[in-house]
Amino acid sequence: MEKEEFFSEDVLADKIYNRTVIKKLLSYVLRYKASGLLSIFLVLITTVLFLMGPYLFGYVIDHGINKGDKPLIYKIALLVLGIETLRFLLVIVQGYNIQAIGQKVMLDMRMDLFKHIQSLPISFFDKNPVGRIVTRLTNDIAAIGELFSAGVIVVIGDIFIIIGIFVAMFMLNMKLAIITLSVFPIIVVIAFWFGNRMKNSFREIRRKLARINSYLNENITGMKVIQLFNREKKNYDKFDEINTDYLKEQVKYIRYFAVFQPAINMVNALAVGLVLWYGAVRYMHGFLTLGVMVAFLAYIHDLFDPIRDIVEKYNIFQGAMASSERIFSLMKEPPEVDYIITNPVKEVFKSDFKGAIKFENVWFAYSGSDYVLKDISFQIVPGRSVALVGVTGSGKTSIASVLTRLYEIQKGTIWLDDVDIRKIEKIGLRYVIGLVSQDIFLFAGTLRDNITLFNPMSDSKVLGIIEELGLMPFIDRMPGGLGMQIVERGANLSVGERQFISLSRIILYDPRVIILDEATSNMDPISEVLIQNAVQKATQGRTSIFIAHRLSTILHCDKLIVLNKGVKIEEGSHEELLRLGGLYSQLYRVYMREELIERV
Amino acid sequence: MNKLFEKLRGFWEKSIIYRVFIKKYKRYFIIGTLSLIAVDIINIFPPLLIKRVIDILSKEACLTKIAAISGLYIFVSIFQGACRYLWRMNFIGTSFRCDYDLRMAFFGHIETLSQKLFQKYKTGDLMSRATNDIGAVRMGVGPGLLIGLDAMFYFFVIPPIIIYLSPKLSLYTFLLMPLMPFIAYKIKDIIDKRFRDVQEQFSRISEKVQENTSGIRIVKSFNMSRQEERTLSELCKDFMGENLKLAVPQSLLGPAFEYITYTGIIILLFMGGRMVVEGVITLGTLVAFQRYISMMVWPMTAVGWALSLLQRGNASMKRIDDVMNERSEIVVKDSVVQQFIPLGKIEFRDINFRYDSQKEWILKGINLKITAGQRIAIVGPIGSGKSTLINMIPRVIPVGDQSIFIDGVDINTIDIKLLRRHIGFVPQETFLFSERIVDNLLFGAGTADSSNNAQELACMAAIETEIQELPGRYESYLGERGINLSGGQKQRITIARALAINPSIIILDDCLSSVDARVEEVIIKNILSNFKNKTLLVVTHRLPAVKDFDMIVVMKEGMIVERGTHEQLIKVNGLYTSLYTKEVLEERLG
Repeated sequence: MEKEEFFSEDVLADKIYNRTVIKKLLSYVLRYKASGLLSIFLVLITTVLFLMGPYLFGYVIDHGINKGDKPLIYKIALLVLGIETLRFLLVIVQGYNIQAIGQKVMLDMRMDLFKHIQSLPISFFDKNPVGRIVTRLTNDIAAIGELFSAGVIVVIGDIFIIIGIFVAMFMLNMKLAIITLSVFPIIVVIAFWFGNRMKNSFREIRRKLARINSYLNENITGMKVIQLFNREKKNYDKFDEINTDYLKEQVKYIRYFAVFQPAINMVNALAVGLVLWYGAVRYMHGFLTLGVMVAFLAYIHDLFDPIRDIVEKYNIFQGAMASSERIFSLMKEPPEVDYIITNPVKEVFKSDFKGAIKFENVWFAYSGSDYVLKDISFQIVPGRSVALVGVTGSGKTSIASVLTRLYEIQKGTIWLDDVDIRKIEKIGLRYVIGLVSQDIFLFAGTLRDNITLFNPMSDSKVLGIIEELGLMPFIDRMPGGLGMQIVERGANLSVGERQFISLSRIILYDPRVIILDEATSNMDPISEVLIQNAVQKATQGRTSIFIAHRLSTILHCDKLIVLNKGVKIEEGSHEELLRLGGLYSQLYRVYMREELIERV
Repeated sequence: MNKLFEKLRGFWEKSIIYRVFIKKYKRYFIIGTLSLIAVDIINIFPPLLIKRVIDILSKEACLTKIAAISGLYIFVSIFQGACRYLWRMNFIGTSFRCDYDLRMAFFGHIETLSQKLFQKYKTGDLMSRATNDIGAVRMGVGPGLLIGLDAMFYFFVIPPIIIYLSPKLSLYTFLLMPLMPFIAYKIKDIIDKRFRDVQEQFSRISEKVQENTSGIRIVKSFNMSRQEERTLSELCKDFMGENLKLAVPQSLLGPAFEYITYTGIIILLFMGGRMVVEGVITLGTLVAFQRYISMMVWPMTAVGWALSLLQRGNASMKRIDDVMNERSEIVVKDSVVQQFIPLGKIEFRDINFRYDSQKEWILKGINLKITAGQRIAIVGPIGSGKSTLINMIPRVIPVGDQSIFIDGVDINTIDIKLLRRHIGFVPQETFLFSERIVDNLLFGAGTADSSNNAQELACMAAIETEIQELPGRYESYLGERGINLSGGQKQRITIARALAINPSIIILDDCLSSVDARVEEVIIKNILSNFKNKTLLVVTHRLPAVKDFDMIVVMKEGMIVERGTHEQLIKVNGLYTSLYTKEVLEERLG
């Protein structure tokens, strides 16, 4: 699972400027027009305010200091104080505002993606490991958040500053501006040259790191095999190779940086040298004041940081684009058929359906034509019970899966009363048919949450149901009663306690039809009796389908259906089948004998 | 005094800077530090040169002098650039070497750990130590060390020069500067705390999503999607809230520093401007001061940053050390047997075993003698101790001295690699590596062998025809980038892998559960005919497949309850008979 996760990182898309991806991303941002406009407005204002600083410093030199005008010096100093205070406040507002937009976009995207994932068919979850789905919802969304917290707007601000400095320089002194900015093409060339190489190198680094991680993960998981086959040395050497590869790429990347940064600094120095020399020439001819020259020096100083910033931010942008692409391609997965999340029709269906079930020549395969149910037909009268008997892999559990439409059948029809279940909205169908599955899934939360499945319900109602089922002894032995915290997947619960939760859960859910796919083994005798009785009560008056794991628990069923390799081979009551002397009677004898031995 | 010195030295030797970096890369450290000092000293000059130009222009006008200064400015910057390159390569570049060293040492060490430790440290835990923690140590010895030294040198270099230029102006303009480390410390503290809250909430979201996805069947069956959406939405909203709380100090930090810097410049205008007018200082000095003020922002903020990087690095190093200090409980004895080619006689002598003193006994008084070349089946219900028993033979699970003997030699005295060299073990859990099929087949045998050999092995494990049908045949990659085999196919490859080392003892630990019963019989027959004089131990629940074995050992609750040939056991009419009839029936059904 984790391996997959690491490798999905690996597959960074090459064509990252996918237009549709950017368009979709923008559509999320555009939901917050007001904040967006505010932030653009703030970028403009703060940039202008920022550019005022060097200008005023130059101005005060020319008009205040050099003319000995002390009051002007004080006035300008106060003006700068005012401007800086305003800018200080606006920058804080801006910073917060951008974070807020980013957070809202993340919230929307995460929820949209989660809702979409909820609507996907089970077959999607069979194919995609949990780790991969979780990564989409967590890290990939977070990478997009990075765009806002450290990326996009900062870059926009940087571009504004660069343009602003250009404008300011030209306004102050055209000729000096042209001379100074003659170095700009050099910077553009350097930025592009290094930017490209750094981008590629960064991608390589990610790929190589992913390789290290996946190798490490695999080796930790398979360490027993490595040790059993004396492969320690060889695998160490292989790891060394992968690791060295990564180190080399890292050093290469660092080297780009180590050259890029000083290169930018040198161009910066060149520009300063030009201003000093050419400025002096112009000054001596009386075309330039000292103040303007000082302002120019300050502007040059401020021009280079944004350029460096843009080149370095490029990686974040790239990462976010790759993540967006993965997220949007997951959003394109087609949802489950007939899955409608709104409009719950519980009441209507409750009163309408009696719970008659009919399978008519049903064929089903998880994939291709590997049928696990072959031409299955049977009928259940409302309120009656049926048990499915057969060894592992005979198709018992598949019958439960197709009845609740977790999977769709390929051929034949399943009828609920007189309605083809394909015509029933899935939500409605799943209110009518309740499934108690073999591995009882517990959620992090209290015992109450796990019984009510987070539906708001009074304690007295919950306890009433438990009382009715005769399961109060379980509540009594749980510390904290209904408020008891269930730790990670219920590691602190016994098999009996899990069964108790699962049964209470289904009765509160109150479906017309119950499918019980429970393994009742490994329980202490007292719990077993309690659970057995509760099952009897729970299934009374409901159509119930038992998936048999132990024959002793299904003897009371009105009908037994024996399955073998997806084919129905026998059908009838326990007595009828025993009389028939077929497979069921043999199975029964063996199981009875086993129970006997186990007791001895 | 001496004690203090000793203490300091101890502290130094324990710190990651020394342990991970300087101890091994002294040369790089020295070159890096020297170039860093050079860069920081050169930093003093640009403002001074600008001051010079302005002062010259204010008084006389001498273009040649100015041209010389401009030239010098560019030259100094080039020299500084070269030094910058050196420090980056020597500090950051070397930090990645340290990263490499740590990762290799970590990997090398966990290769020596026994299975018990892999239960103590889960895969995810070990992974996070090998990735996040090693990364944090690297950040400490790379950027952390560099930034710290850099800040320190700034403090040594800039204050003297500005005091030299004008003590009075220094006092005024740097009045507010000491606020910076204080603010940095305060805000960073808040940021750290809120960042932790954000992280916690993030892992809550992560857990919820994980839970939802793993339990998707129940979520769908009980129509819980909307509930789940509501829960997640609550979590995400809280997450947003936490993030926005973090955004406040975060968006405050940078502007606050800038603001303090600017107040310095405003004071400079106020006081310095007057001083220039009064002729106390020159205009050039004023401009130089402006430069120095903006230069001091960096070291003020950097101190806190460097400290937190180093702290995190040290904390992570402790987590790495936890694993590095683990020792395998499989002790290598001094008097190890170095020459050993066993015939395959195995004796278990009175073995009792439990994982720890609080837990139940898993094996109780096991005594069993197996002669060389015998074929033994071990059967019994789940949890009867079969697997534990046979995992003791290659010392995957440790046993006490004088417990298991191979050819009469206590296995604890045999070099562990030598012992394993002669045991072809097929574990219960199928594990193949994401490499080529042939690499997996010849995993223990060395890849030098021809693919003919691989083919032969594949035939024995009844997987040859299926491999031939794959597009890349023996060269096909397994796993995430390549083909995915079915459980049964994978199991058969693990059998071929064990046979490839030409073992004296072959052990199959219930490793054919996904293989068709008829194929299982074929494989066992192949093994019997190809490895005639080898000892074969098979744990299985498919009793008909081992009907003809020399001895069948029936285990229950950690004890051997029945033993003998099939015919003998059927006569006993006990547990074996019951297991056998059930199995026969199930196979007929399946």
